[in-house]
Amino acid sequence: MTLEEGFSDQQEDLRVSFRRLLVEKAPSETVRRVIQQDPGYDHALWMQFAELGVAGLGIPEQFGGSGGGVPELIVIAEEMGRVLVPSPWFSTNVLAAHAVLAAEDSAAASELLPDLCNGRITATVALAEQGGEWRHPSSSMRATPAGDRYRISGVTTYVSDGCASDLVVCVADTAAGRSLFVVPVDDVGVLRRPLSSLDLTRRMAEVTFDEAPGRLVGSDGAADQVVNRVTALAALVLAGEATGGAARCLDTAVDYAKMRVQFGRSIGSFQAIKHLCAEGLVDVESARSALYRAMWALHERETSAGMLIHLAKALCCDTYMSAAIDNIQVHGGVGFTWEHDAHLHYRRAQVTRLLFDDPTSHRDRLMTHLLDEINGNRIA
Amino acid sequence: MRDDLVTHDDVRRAVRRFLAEAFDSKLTVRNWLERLFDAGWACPTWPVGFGGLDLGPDLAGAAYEEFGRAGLPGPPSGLARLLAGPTLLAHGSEGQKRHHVPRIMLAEETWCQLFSEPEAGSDLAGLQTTARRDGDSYVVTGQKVWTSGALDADVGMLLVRTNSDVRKHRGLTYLVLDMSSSGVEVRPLRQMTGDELFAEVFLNEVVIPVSNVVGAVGDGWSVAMTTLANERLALGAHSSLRFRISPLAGSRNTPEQQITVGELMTRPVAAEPESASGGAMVGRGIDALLGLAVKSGRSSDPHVRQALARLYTLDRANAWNTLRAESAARAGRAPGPEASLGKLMASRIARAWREAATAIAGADAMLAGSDGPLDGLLARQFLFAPAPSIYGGTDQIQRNVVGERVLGLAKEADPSRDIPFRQIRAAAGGQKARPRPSSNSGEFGS
Repeated sequence: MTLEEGFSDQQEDLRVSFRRLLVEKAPSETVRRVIQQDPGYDHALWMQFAELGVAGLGIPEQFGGSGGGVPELIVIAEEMGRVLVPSPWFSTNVLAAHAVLAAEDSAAASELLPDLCNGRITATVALAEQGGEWRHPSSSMRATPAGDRYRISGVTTYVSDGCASDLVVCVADTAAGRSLFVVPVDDVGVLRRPLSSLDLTRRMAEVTFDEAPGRLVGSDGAADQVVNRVTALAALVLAGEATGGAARCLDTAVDYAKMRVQFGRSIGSFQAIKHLCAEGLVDVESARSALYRAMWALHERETSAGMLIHLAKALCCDTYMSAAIDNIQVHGGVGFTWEHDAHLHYRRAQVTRLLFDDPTSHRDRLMTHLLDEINGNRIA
Repeated sequence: MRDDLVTHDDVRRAVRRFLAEAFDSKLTVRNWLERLFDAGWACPTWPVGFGGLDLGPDLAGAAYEEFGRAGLPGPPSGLARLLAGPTLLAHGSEGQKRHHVPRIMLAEETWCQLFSEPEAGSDLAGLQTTARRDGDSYVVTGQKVWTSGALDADVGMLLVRTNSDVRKHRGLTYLVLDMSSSGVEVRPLRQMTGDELFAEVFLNEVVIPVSNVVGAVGDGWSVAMTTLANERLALGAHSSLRFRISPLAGSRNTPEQQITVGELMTRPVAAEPESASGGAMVGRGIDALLGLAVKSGRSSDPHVRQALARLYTLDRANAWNTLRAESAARAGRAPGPEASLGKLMASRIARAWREAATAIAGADAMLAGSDGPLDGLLARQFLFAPAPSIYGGTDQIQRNVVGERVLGLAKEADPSRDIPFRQIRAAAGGQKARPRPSSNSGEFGS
């Protein structure tokens, strides 16, 4: 499939039915209620996601997943991003399950993935340390062999749903190099501290490992490619959420501009407002194009996928931020109130652009790819 | 659409078959264009009998790709092909279509667009050039301005007022003007780049046959909207729906049509006129900038890298937007207001190019000509950068189009919209006659 061909009918159906589900089950009142209590998401809705196969997207059926590929993940991400539904989907399915899958360890996959896909167990991936980058994970993490397990020590942070997860997938250095581990959180060696996240609809935690018992997943010293795959997928899914959120902010602003009357005219008839919305549409459509182009590239395993994801993550997250800001501006005083959802998007936009590396750093990596291409052409 | 042209592969095979039968590099350009026209490959999205095959943009794209792979030339991609052709096909009489469409595709005619006037720019419907009916003719008097390519044009798309007693949008009529008519005077205008690519056109009692009316008398506005929608698409889109090489067109370039196709294909590519496509122009320049950054050792500077990545991102996003829009329009719908998105993107790209280029070149960006970076390209593009956000409808007008016709926001207030044209002038004249304060005396607007 390609950008020209677009989504299949099945994928479009998935979007329609998932949007309908979220409209029904995750209206703003519900979202606002569940974020005030633990675990920070609606457990019944999560179980429903599992029933629908959303919790096992992208995971082969032999491991209990529901199949599908990158396009299905992006459809879900966009729709989740529109309504800001708090859910362990990103941490459990996108991060943890795909990390285990990428490790190419069929024993671990057979054992761990079915429970992640059916929603019984939630999990997350811990990569960053404070101020650090996701693609170059925490350098403080160490693992030493202890019988058939390893003892893991170190500090990770900005861990999505860290406090609500049953398992933490992490990366730590062994004698052989960077390796992937799964650690159950109920061990005394795992200390989880909830962080006060700016984004009220996405919780995160600091996770400290102190001689915590971990199971090696994949070969010893072979975690680099897992990190590459998971950070790429995470960046793309966040770009999808950002695009959905941006589209929603624009829709909300346009609706309000049509309805709100001042000086005897709807405010959308004033160029100051109209032009803001028009530029917003250029932004959102461009973000969509970049998102879908990168999505098909990753789905079809094109060599340019990595570069296109850097482009999309930067563009979609910048677009979300500006759409969230403009949405507040168009609404005026109402947009600055606690009761209006505009601030929930503004908060999410800030976190989405910083999670899994910020736009500046993604643009910088995009340049590295472009310059490599030029040099490659020169040699060839 | 033809039954045997359903998939990309069908189209590719058909093109290859056509090439095997019809192509010979010793053909004259003229003869090659005739063969393309007769077979329907000149513009595959156009109707059968008019150089096309009624293909959707998706399948047409496959055909263009196939011709592109073989490096073959096609009809010129100027205003004649991009604006006049689609307008005539949508609104023209059978006679007009039969006369002009082949001439456009065989590079015989170049066209210019006679819309804007000194007193009617963004408010195009307020134009004042008038056409008076006289038997089987109209007699036209007035002045047009910002007319690209007017000096070389054989034919003009002319919008005039045929009735001043109705609302301004209602009294307009669209005419085909033979630019060699008596009373047509073209005076070149010098642009800020130093070039003379556009002109002002004076029309003094020019006689135009009534049979040259496109669409209905008084319905010129909707005909002009077709032209403008196609213009937005052409200026903004990063369209893949075109031949990559084409000969110069028009009666002033007839020698060009007598050389062989082989000669046309092997000669160095002439610079495309800047006004032809903002997107394409700047797109070519990105590679030049990347090369300059590497050569001048600036490619590791963080500011330069961000500027270049932003430029690259905008350019790609515009290309992908176009691709998505083209596929969405598979049914062969005429370009709608969505094309304004591409037009706005082209403006952004021109600005991003200017900033990235300046970041790379530093103080050298003060220099032009052969002293300047990239043999003067940087300076030329710097000077050209303000143009895309003005020509073909300003960014401000495009934002109105997007806001009103795509997003559905309420229309801009226009007190002149609902009164007869004649009364607008009187009202505006009355205001102008008021004495103006000579300095900031505290009086605002009027």
